[in-house]
Amino acid sequence: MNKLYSLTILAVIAIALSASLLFAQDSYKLEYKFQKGKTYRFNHISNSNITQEMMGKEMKMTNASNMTIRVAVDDLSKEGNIALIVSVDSAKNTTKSPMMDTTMILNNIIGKRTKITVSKIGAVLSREVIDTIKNEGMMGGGSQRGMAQLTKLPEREVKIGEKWNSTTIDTIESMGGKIFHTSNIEYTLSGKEKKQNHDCLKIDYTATTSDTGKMMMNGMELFVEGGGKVKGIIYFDIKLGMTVVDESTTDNEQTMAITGQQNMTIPMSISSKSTKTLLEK
Amino acid sequence: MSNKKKSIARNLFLITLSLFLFSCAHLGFKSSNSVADKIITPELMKQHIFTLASDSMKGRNTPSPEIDSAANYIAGVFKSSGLQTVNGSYFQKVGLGIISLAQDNHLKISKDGGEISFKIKTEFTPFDMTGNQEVNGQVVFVGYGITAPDYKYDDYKDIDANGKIVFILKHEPQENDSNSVFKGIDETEHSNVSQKVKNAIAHGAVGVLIATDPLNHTSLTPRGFPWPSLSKTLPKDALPTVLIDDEIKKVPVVQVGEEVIANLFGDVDKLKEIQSQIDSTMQPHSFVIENATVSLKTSITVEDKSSQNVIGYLEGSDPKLKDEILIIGGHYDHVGYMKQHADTVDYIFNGADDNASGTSAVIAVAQAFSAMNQKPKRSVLFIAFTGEEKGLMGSRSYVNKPLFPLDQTVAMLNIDMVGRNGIDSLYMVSEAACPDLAQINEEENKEIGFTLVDEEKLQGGSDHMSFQKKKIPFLFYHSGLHSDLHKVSDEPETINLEKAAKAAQLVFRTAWRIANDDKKYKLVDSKTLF
Repeated sequence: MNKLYSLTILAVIAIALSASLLFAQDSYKLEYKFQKGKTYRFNHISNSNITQEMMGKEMKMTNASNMTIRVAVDDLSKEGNIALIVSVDSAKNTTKSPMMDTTMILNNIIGKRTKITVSKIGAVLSREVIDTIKNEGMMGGGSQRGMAQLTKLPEREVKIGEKWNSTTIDTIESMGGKIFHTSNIEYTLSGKEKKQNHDCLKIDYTATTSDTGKMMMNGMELFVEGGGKVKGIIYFDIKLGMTVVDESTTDNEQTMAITGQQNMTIPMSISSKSTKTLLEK
Repeated sequence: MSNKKKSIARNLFLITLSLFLFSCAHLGFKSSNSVADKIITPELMKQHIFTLASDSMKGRNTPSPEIDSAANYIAGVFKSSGLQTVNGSYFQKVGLGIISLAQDNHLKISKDGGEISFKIKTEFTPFDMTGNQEVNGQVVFVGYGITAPDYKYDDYKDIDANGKIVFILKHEPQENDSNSVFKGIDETEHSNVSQKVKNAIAHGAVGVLIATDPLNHTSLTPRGFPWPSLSKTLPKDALPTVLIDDEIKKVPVVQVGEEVIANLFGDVDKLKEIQSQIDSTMQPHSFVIENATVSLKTSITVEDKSSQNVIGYLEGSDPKLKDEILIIGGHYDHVGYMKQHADTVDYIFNGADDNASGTSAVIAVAQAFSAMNQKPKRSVLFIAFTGEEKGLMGSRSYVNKPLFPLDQTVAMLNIDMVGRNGIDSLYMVSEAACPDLAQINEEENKEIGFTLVDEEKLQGGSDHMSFQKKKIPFLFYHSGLHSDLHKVSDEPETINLEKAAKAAQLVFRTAWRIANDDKKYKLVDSKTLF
């Protein structure tokens, strides 16, 4: 009996191994398959723990944001490039700090459109802010850029276990200065998994990011320096040509330094968890 | 007379006597209040506020020649009012400085007959709280470095860290567990690096190595403090002014990265395993790291930026109660002026509301106390604090080096920004923390007529916090935030002088009651927000 059971197990393992071998040999061409005239909506939830040291004291804050992002397909070119109009349908932000707890509906960003044109693999070809967000302070249009990010898919066909990279350098003009944001992302096609009732390819990714820049604030110079690491998983429905879920954790360490009438060096540590989910309706 | 009649008569006599004494006392308070109301007028407030917030004071930055001028003005009023000096001076030095990282820093691990030297910035970085010394010794791993009786958790249980260099993980156990023993996913103050260092020193540690906990965090960069000398972007001018007369023992404290972890533990995964065991059992897994010794040296330089509190003393009249102290204070510093500015624009942060208004109230209340025919029973200390805008420096310095014993300090009344927003209301932060004082204040307010708004969330930002940390009951008077705060538009002309005077009158009444009381007050909630 035991021997029979062992043999059965071995057979199952052998079948599984041969199946995965076959599966591993498959290669996939990943492309976005946006349909003209269609609107896609994503829910983006993010929770952060922030520790900030200011004037010799550590202060802890939490931030929770919940946004619904609308991606309307404006045009598809003959070459397959996709023009998207990206905006926010709803945005709620809750901050808890020793000074105050606030919940805000971010009306200033709702409905503000950015047009981005991307290739089939998500490479950004052009970006145009249609409606400028007022009073965004240090974000300086950063939120519009953030909501319009697409995963950069590989140019070639990839097999399970294969990797590809993406490097982006973004410049955010803000408060009379500029912040340079650099990210180096390594993607790995790690397997297949059912997610949200979609048959998905699973893409693991790790990224390192860095920020440097200088701005002006009330006559003071404000310097920004920092960087971090991101680790995440993307579930990509190859048939639909769309990211279904993107889950990530981020550890970021930033420093803000102020000179002028007040001199301060403010180290900040930010740990975040984010989930971006394709909404079906 | 029968015993019953005697008893009735005695009771009637006692009631009559009580009523008489009460009415005398009440008349006494009424009379003092009326004298104070004649002294604490909008005109007096105008005189002080317009002087302290004038352009010539250039925003009273700490330190600056202009804040010294403000200090001299305050001391002059104290002197002319007849307040006494303490230790022969109206000034108390507050040791402030700018700390920079010096050149001579090292972290070396000796093991297996060899020595590995690590690179500063990429492999280890000193924190700003580090000491100026070299230590050598064994390393003890003490988990998260937390001793938290409130959560029944102690990483130092059954381990001797005395004379050792301790290795500590950042954050706290079960960090991402919403059911965590430590307040769910919200971090407690036990996760503060400064708290962990204090705890390590309390357990006899001579040096501290801190690493980001690898189980829940991907970035193990040894940032420590972002020293400008180790950065291409951050300017030296941005280094903050810090309190350097803190009587806290200092030891070398550095953050270490993956290379140091690998050398001490084998690899990062090994440390993850240990962390996982702590998180799953909530029991300490502290141990001595055998066969390795560490040499750790950190060097800092201090540029002197000292300033001064201004203090006036009114000795109490009661032979016994005069040893007890009531402190009435407010900060007289502000944030200075714009160094880069066009000639045609206003560039001075006058700080009329923040906090010429509160300082003026302190001075005016001092003048009123001095003008009374009868001295209060308890002694009163009037303090204008320096360096509040730099991080409560003046008040922190005072509680570290008090001029009178803190256990004899019965209460602290803090006045910070009392000249703006509607004249009818005033924010108070104290109802929950100091109900006895709040009740006195509410009773005294009946004749003043403010609507008192309890605003607990404001309690993190002013000098009473330094006293709260030392368990001293407090009241915090504040008229609310406004759009001119820390702007050049916080001008003396914007101050509601009637309101500022009314607030100072309320402070006087409450202070006079406390100063003539013999009760000890309770601090119910000593929660530290920072």
